[in-house]
Amino acid sequence: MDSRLLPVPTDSEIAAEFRRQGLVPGDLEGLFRRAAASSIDTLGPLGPVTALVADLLNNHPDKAEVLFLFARLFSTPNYAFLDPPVSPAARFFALPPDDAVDRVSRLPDALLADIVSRLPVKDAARTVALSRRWRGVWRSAPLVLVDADLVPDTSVLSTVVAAHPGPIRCVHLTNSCTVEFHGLLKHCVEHLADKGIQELVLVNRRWPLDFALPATFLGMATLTRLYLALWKFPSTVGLPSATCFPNLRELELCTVLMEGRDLDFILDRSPVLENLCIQGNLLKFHLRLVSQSLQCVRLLGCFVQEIFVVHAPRLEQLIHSEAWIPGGNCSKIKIGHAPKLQLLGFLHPRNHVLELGNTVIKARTMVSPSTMVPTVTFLGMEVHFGVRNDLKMIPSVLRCFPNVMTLHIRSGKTDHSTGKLNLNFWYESGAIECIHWSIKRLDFYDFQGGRSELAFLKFFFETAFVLEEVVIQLATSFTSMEEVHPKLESLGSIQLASEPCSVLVTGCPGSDQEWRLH
Amino acid sequence: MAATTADGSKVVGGGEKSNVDEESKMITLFSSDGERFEVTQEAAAMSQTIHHMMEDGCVDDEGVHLPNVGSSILAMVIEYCNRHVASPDEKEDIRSFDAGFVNVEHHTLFDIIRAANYLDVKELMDLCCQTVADSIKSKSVEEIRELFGIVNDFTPEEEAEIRKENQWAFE
Repeated sequence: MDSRLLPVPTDSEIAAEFRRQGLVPGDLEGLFRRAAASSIDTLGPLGPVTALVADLLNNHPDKAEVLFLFARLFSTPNYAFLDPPVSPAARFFALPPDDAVDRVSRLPDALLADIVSRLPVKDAARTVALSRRWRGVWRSAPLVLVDADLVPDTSVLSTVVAAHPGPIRCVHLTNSCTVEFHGLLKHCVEHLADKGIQELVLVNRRWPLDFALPATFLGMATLTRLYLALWKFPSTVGLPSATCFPNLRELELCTVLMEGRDLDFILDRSPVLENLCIQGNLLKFHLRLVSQSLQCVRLLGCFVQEIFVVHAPRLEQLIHSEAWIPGGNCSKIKIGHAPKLQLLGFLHPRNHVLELGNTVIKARTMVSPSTMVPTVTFLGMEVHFGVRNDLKMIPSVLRCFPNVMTLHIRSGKTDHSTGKLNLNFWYESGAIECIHWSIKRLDFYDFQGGRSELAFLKFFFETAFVLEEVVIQLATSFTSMEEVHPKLESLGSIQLASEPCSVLVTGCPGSDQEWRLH
Repeated sequence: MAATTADGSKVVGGGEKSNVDEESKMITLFSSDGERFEVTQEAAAMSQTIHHMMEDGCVDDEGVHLPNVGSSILAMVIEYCNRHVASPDEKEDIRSFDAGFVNVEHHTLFDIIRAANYLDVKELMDLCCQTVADSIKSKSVEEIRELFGIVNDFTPEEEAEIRKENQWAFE
């Protein structure tokens, strides 16, 4: 992550906005009440975002969770961007020359341009004053612009983009929060589209957080990688069908307000897209994947009603985690043709409906070849061990993935337990092929030491014949290893089915201690 | 790193002495001054130029002649390629190797850049160009001129105009 990101000066702006609305800064409840009372128009820049969340609030009884999400929108964005291609830090050092002969200027144009394009933009532009030989080099090198290098005067970026004839290889705008930023954006986008922009990182750090990107954005046909954060995506309605992103390989959208049909539009018109990542999209959407090129799809903190992998012959990873599923809703994961799918996570028996080969997997579903996905070797699940219905799903889900080698289980906290399932349940549920013959590694996160968890682990250890490694991460509710010991004693008495297996319990906050089963 | 065998030809990279030989997968490279270098095909393939020649079947029994690359520079390029194919995953080790590799005089660096460009070894180009760029960073125009021996052939008026045109860069 780019550590040069400045702290965003929006907290005082947010506070100012709150005050303008006659509210105490940080009074999210008050803001909600306003939104619920349909006075959204009066909320100014806070309006559209609030409307969205108010809509969610109507569908979800757990107000605390919604407020938490809402608060996240207001806090400093903390995204892991692409590392910027240039930075002011020097990493490699050559020896200083021992004579004053100018050899560097003898290098051919293309090589000088290569060197200059690796400099932060101000250093690069200054080379024009070195000598006549160097005068044209910067302008002939593809432009690489990281606005952190222009700070504090980021408004000059439109001058730079206009002055350089192109091509523009890479632009990272992650620090621009001046008053003029939104106004400058339209012209910048036009220049970028004209000059063949390839890699674009565009983070909105200025309110409103759902400022609509100009429609000319969709004319950037040369894009290869695109990262957007905190924008409203331009509408694709009425665009000529020839609009296309023929070179787009990577697309990442963080908290971008986008209609489902706009997302479909982009996906349909990106024939070489390999990586798709959508984070924090709170608007309900469907994801229908038909792509010859997609290899990795990640959805983090999204409200996805359905992910249907219709036809994705190169898809290897499908990750759906921290799903935002307001109560009463369910998220469906439907896998059609994905012959190379290796990594799938994080299935949530309660909130996810898994459909494989046109069959919805339920607790008593009989497994058959059409419901199996034999290519998956990494499977992630989130399980609430205090909920019977969650646990009952596990055997049938696991039977769909007979070749899992790494199983990643996160133990969810439950507010209400509907009864634990003991060891007998596991033994009576019948053979689970992947546990017996395939799983080599188990990662168990947020271990709380409950009886239900221990029953599962006992069953697992006793029947996993090829298990090699187990790592159990303790839940953060433990404060010391002493607290954990009694739980570990029962683990210690389990007979491991696989002799060379190592079991490691770790992650006790405030302590580096680890515990191993011998 | 280089050992001399009985007939005086250099063997670099620890392989058997042989010409293009399918079994031991070695390839012979000749520098501009006629010196002979034996390299594994894998290391040689880091050069896209050589890689394409091998793929297209243009490499005969004698080996590949590189009229644009002198022996001392070719030896360095081969050292780089050998190191990078040997253990590509050991990132820390490779970084410290790279840092040491470029800690040479600039004129050597420029020669390596030309060779890497001709041979199309992308990683080596990236490394060396980045090093030259790193030596330019954060320096004033005068400091850069002094470092590289660049002669200022602008008139004072021309230079003032250039600085004014790109004022934002000089602030």
